Amino acid sequence: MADNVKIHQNLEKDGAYVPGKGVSPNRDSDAEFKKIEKRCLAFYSKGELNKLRKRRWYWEIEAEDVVGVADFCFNALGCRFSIATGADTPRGFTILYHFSLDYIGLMINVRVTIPHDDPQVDSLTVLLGRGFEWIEREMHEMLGIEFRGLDDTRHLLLPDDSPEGYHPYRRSFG
Amino acid sequence: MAELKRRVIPIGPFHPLQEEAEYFKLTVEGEKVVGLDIQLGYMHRGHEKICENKTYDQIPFVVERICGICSTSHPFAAVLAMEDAAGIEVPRRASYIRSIIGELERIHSHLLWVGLAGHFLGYNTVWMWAWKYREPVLEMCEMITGNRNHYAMFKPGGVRRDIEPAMIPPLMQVLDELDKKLWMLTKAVLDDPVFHKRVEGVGILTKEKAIEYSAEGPTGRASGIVIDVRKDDPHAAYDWIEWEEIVFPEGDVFAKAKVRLLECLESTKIIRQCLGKLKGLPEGDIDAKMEHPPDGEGIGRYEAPRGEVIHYVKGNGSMYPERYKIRAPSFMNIKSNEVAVLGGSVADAAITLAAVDPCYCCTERIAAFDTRGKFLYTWDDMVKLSQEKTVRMGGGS
Repeated sequence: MADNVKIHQNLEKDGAYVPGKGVSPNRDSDAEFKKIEKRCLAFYSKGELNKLRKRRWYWEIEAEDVVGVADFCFNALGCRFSIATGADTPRGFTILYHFSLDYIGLMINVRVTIPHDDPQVDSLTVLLGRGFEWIEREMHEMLGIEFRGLDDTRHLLLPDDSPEGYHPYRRSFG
Repeated sequence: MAELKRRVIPIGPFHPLQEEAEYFKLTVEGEKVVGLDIQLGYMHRGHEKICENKTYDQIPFVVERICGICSTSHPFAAVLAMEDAAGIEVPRRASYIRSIIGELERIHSHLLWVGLAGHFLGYNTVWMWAWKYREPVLEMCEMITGNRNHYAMFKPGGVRRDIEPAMIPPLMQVLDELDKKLWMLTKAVLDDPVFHKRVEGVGILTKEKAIEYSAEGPTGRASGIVIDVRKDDPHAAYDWIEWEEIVFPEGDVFAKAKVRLLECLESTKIIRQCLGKLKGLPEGDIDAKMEHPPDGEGIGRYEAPRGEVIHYVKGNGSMYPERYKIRAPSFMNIKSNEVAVLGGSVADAAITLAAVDPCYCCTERIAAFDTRGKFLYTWDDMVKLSQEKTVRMGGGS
């Protein structure tokens, strides 16, 4: 967490952020995007980085590496955590973590797929802080995904007395 | 000295200070707030699931109903997501019109907050003023879109109505009047010694914590984070005109008020420039039609008055999206209250909790559930209850 603050301070020193102007001088420069891509691939080569649009990248990674990659995005690149999208697909549950690198307006979407019969994934709250808690609780109740290390598993949006195994967002629901 | 006992003060789910239902469980030691637990779920309607059963043309109108105040932010992000997925280029004219509506909404939303903040502080003059000056903005919305709220202007590929050249001079005139009033209100509020005393240094969200909690919008900008989707991720007309983003480093409620008030003035700047540029563009070119439903993923994000709205759409080539995800800014911002209220006094909790401009309807929009429970009240029961209460209070008949 402290790392992320430092990154932001460094970015400001480098002139990536110009208060009052907003637009970073590098915002549209292809070299900056190349640099980020290089850093991503240097950090994690096992996955597949699809650059669907200039500012929308989709990064398919292994589920067990999610904490490492999220830590890299959040603390090393200095991304902001926008949100995560959980979905039930025929291949399994997918979670798409949307990280936003604000000074170039880039969205890095980290995707993990976890099997239906054992829906478990590491919680990011342990390492990256409480900002990740609500969305994990939401996915926990809506899809029934277990987040290892998430200490607060109370219902976020569903009524407290929802029955066990009641996951409205599963394909099998309803 | 006897050790102070910990006590719990519940605020909500229904509370006169809040415009919507939410439950804040404040733990206090004496006057000092030492813990906060936020419980959501009271406004949950299941928009994400509803959207999966609607066609792409219908979705902008459905998501418009998520929020009554920032009602154009959601369709804005929705059409951006669909255009991103389908790879559509929007005509310039439509982009300018989109920005105009977006900024009008920002002004009226910020003024609404300023009014409520004044009301929370017991400063009802500000409340009355701010809401009075909000009125011409709503009238401008009506002139352009036909509605004071829920404008129904957005469609994938463009907008539904044009702004005709004859409309521009009267709009400019209202804008000039509005500018004067906004300056007056801004100066009056920011120079007020009581307002200063009451909110300066209250409910500080430090930059570190704002980054940790991924706070955004005016909440983040008031904590010194330079972040504005309109600048960072160029869309609509925001990249073609001159304007500044407002950033203050203090992180207290006063900084949030400054950000919002000054942003209103930036918004009038944006609208004026957009209206000016519209004159030079060919009329009627406002819709690049979406010929085929998107097959693939798209993300749209827009800087709503409260921060970044994200819509994610995953299409499979059919008329209906496979997955539709909505994330409103309050979802990230309300969470940051956990640290902002700590250490403050109970009396400051209300304004601190309200300082992120929380929008619970936006926060709780996800997946559908059928209640399966029994129906507690019918509409008639509720009307009856309401009338009984009026009688109890000595009114009605």
